Amino acid sequence: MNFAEAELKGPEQESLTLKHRTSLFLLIAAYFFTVLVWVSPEGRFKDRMLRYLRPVAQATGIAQSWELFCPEPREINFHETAIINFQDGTAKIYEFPRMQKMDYGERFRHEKLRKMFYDCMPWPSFAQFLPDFAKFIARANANPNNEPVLITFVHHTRPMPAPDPTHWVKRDDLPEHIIQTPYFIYKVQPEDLHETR
Amino acid sequence: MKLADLTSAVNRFLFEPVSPTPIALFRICIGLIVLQDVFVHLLADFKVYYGDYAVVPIQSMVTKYWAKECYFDLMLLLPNDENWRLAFLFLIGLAALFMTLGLFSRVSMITVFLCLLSIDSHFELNQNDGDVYLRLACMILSMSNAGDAFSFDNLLRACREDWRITGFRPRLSSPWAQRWMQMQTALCYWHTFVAKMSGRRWIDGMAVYYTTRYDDIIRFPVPYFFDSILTVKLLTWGTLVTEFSLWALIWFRELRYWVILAGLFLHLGIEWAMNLPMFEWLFIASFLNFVYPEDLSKTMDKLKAKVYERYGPPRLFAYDGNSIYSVRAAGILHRLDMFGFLKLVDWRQPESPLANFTPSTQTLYLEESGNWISGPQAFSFLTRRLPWFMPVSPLFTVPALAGIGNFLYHLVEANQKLLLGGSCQTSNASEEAVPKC
Repeated sequence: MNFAEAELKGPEQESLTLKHRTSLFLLIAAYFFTVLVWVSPEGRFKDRMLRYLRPVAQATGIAQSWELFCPEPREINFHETAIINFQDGTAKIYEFPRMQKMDYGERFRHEKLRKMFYDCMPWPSFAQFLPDFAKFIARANANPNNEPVLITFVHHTRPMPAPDPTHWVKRDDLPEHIIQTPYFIYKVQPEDLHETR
Repeated sequence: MKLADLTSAVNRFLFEPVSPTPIALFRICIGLIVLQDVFVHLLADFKVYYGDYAVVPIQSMVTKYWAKECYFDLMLLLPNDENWRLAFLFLIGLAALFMTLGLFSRVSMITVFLCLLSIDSHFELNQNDGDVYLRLACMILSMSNAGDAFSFDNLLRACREDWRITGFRPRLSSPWAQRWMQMQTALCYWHTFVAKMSGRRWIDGMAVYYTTRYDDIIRFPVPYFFDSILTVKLLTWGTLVTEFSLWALIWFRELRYWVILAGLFLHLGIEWAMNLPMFEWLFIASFLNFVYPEDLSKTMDKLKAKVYERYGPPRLFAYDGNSIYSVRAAGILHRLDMFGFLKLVDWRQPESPLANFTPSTQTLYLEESGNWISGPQAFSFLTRRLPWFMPVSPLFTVPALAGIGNFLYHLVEANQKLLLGGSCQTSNASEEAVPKC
C-alpha cells in the first residue's frame, strides 16, 4: 500500500460476537431502565423498583437528576451568616463566602463553596449536617482564652423584584438581603473544638 | 414492522463499526474538564472538604448521608491523613492528564472514573450536576474505544507497525459506548424539559428573568436589550424549544447540526451569564458525540486546504522503503502532522523519481524549495511546522542551544532500533540497520 492508499485505510475492524453484543445491549438497557426509574415521578412502582435498584445506582454513581432551575426557578436571593458567641459575652458575625462579593476568578475557583454553603447547608434536606457546619465554625474561632460557646446560623433573604416593566430592576441592581431568620442554634461542647476526622 | 427489522435497526445503531474519532475528541475534552475540576475547583478548597478538619468529617458523611446505602469510596482505604487524600487528588489529576493524552487510555479512564466516584462519595456536599455528568461520562468512556484515535497509545502502537499494511486511519469499531453517551445526553435534556414543562414560570415565559437574577451565580453583565419582558419570554420559550430539540430532533440527520448550533447558543449564553463552571462545557463537549465522523474528516480536509493556501502544498518527505525504521519514523511524523504539511514518498520506488535527490546515511529527507535537506536540518524545519514539535523548536533554531538539539537528534537516531524496533508485519522492509546507500 502506498502513502495515498494508506491515508484512506485503517486496521481491520473488530467484530463482536452475538453473545458480546447481547451482553452489551442488556447492560445499556439495564442502565437506562435504572435511570428512568430514578428520575420518574414518585409512586408505588418507583418505590418498589428502587428497593432493588437504589443500591446499584448509589454504588455505581449513576443516580442522577436534571432539574436545574426547574420545575420552578427560585424567586428569592439569600446569603448565610453565623453569629459566634464567646465565653466573655462578646459576639462575632461570620459571613459565609458570598460569590457576588468575589472577583470573576475567585468566583470561578470557589464555586464548590457556593454549592456547599448555599445549595446544601441552609435547606431542610441537609439539616442533619448543620451540627457539623457549626462545629467547623467553632473550631475556626477556637481561642483557649475565650472559647466560642454558641453558634447561630442566620438566613438573610430578599424576594427578587417582580418583572414589572414600569419598575424594571436590572440584574446588577438587585436589592440587598435584609430579611433575617435565625434557623439553627448550636451549643458548643469542649470536645467540638478539637474534633478531627 | 417486523421484530427482525427492530433488532436489525438496534444492531446497526449500536454495533455497526464507525470511526472512533468523535468519542476520542470527547475523551480529550472530558480529560481537560477533569483537570480543571481537580486543579482549579477541588484543590482551591481541598482542606475544607477533605482535610483533617473538614467541614463534614467522613464519619458524619457515612452515618448521616450514606446511612445504610452502598457507596464506593477508595479514599476510605487510605491512612487517615489529609496528605494521603491530597496525593489521591493528584492521582486523579495524573490519570486525567493521561486520559487527555490518550496514554494508557483504558487504565487512565477507569482510574479517573473510580477516583471521581470515590471523591464524590467521600464528600457529597460540594457536588453539582456537572460533577454527576462528568462522572457518568467517565464511566461510559472507561468502557469505550475512545483511546483508539488522537492518542499516544495509537502513536506507540504505530512505533511497532508498518503503516503500508495497517494504513493510517484509526480502527473502525462498534460505537455502542458513543451511542450510550448520546442517549445519556438526550436523557438529560428530556428530563430537564419534562421538569420545566410542569413549572408555571417556564410556561408563562418569565423563568429566565428569575434564573438570571440568582445573585450568587451571576457572572458577566448581559446586554441591555435583555431587560425587557419580550426578550425574557423569547429566551424562556427558546430554551424550552432548544432543550426539546436536543433530545427529540437531534436524531434526524438533516436537523442534527442545526439543533447542535442552537444548543451551542444556549450553553454559551448560560456560560456568559452564569457562573456554573464545567457544566456548560460538559454539554458542549457532548455534542462531539453527535458529529458524524465523515463530517469531521471533511472539516479537517477543508482546514488542510486553508493551510495549503497559506503555506503552499505539502513538502515531500522521502523515506527508505527498505528500512522499517525509516518507514515507521515517516509514519509517526505523518500521524503527528495534523495539518498535512508532509507527503511521504518512498525514494526507492522507481515510479516516484525524486528530482535532485541523492540519498545518504541520514534517516530524514525533506524537500524545501526544490532542494533536499536532511538529518537535524530537516528535523529543525519540522519543529517549525508540526505543532507537536514546536516546544523543542528553540533547541534547533537558537544558535546557543543548537548543540543540545543536534545531540538529542543523534541520540534518537542512534537508538532508533530500540525506539522503533520489535517485530511487525512488514511488506518488503528489512528490520536490519539502516542500509548504507
